[in-house]
Amino acid sequence: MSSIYKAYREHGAALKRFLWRYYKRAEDVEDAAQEAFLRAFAAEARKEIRAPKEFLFQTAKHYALNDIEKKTNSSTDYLADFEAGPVLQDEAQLGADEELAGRQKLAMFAEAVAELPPQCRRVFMLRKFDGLKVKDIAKRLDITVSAVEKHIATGVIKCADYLEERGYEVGSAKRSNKSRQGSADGNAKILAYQSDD
Amino acid sequence: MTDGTKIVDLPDRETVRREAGGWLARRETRPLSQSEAAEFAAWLKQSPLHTEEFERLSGVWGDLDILDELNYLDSASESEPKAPARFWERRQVVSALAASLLVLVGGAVIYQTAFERVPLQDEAFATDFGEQKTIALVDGSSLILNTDSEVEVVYSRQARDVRLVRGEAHFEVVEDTKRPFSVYAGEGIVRAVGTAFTVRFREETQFVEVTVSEGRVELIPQGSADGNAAGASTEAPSREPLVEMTAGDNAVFKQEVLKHITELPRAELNRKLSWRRGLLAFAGEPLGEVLNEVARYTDVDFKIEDPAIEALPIGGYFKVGEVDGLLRALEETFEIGVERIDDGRVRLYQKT
Repeated sequence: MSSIYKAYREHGAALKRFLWRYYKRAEDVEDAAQEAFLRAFAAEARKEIRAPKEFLFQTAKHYALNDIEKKTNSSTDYLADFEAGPVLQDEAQLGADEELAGRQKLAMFAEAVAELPPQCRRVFMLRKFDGLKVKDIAKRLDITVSAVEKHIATGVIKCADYLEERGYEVGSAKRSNKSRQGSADGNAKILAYQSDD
Repeated sequence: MTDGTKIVDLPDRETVRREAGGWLARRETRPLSQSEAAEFAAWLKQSPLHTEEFERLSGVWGDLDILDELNYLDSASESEPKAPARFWERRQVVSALAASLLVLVGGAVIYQTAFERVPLQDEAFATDFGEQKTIALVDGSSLILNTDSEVEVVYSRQARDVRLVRGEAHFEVVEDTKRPFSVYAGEGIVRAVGTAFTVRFREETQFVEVTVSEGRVELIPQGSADGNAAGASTEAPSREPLVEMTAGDNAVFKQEVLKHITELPRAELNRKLSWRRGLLAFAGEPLGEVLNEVARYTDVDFKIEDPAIEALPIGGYFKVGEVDGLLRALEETFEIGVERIDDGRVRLYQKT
């Protein structure tokens, strides 16, 4: 398990107590804690974090200060972030993919990867976060391509297990609402099939 | 076991999932051999569960692309500087690539001396419909060439010039204050020191669209008269910049005309750049526009029969070059009739 994630899990309550210094609403505290985790986790992929708990709290503090400043400076930005106009596709689907719920999804996937054993996690982060090719991942970690293959095989299963335990189901939306849904979802499947070639 | 009873192995999910993971990983790391492909096809067909598990894992694997968004969290809130480390790491990879390119292209690249390295380059690159290429330049910078695009790279001692002859390219520029990096497109110049940005040259209108994902760039008008080849102007462009863009900005310009400059919300920025991952992302653009965009990646012509559907807002991701997937989605999700007239033409109409 990633050391940042471990710290986040162990000290999550303390982190939130700490964040109450900056926020007045519980949802803001929740959001800020999650944002801090994501930032610290991203940083962890690129360098060794010696004191994960301190780093997490520090990241949270910086995020909160920045966030507060941003919110006071721009009250109009929020509207601009949303696209107007109806979209034929289910709003939730699009939302889930990119906008608001996207953050929840990002956190869930980050956690899934954070739970992987160290070397496996490195492979996943180099592939999905840094966008390296398999060959370059092997070179970077000084392992064989077939070792990378093994890490992908076990890792993707662990991620799927983790996500399913938390109620995330790939393609679940499609099954429940076939006619209106699907473009992003159905295509995501098509994508997943073909993106490997 | 009792004779006469057929024992059918009921596939248990765990085993199937493990096998599915194996196939996915294999396909992800290398192309399957012919016999493996046949074996895989047979495996998929063993039971609906096999297909389902493979699809599910593929879905998870594909959805993991979301981790790319960790790259776009505003780093201002970071307590320890991460940019330099990241930059250094990336540069290492790119220069490794550049080194291998050196071996490949041989004569086209000349290094001056072992210590004062001024890598020179004079080369052209192009892509076909639906094709995308990542090209490592000799200084460690890199570019991704989108579909049906062409660039000429001319590196001299004083300048790093790239001419975007047609299409679209994304540049990740390694900083070198002594040699500015300029992209010439139409009648404009996009100049950067060390940054990442995308330039699209719209031939129909001669407008140049620029999207900056990192750092800063300047937009400089260029007289069409003074030679179009990038190499024609080795000295730095003398004109005053029209405007300076920073990360997240999107602008469209031609000569002295700045059509617009806006800071894009992050989601919109990601969408604009999603082609680099081989995806086209839409969020409510009218069908007519979506098909225009898709048409850049294929030589198939789309004909919209019904003006009513032309304005239909479309959202979703499409794999570059996967016209069939798109058409299927249009048909199934948006209830649009799709008729293939022949290999090169597709007719779309309102289903009644």
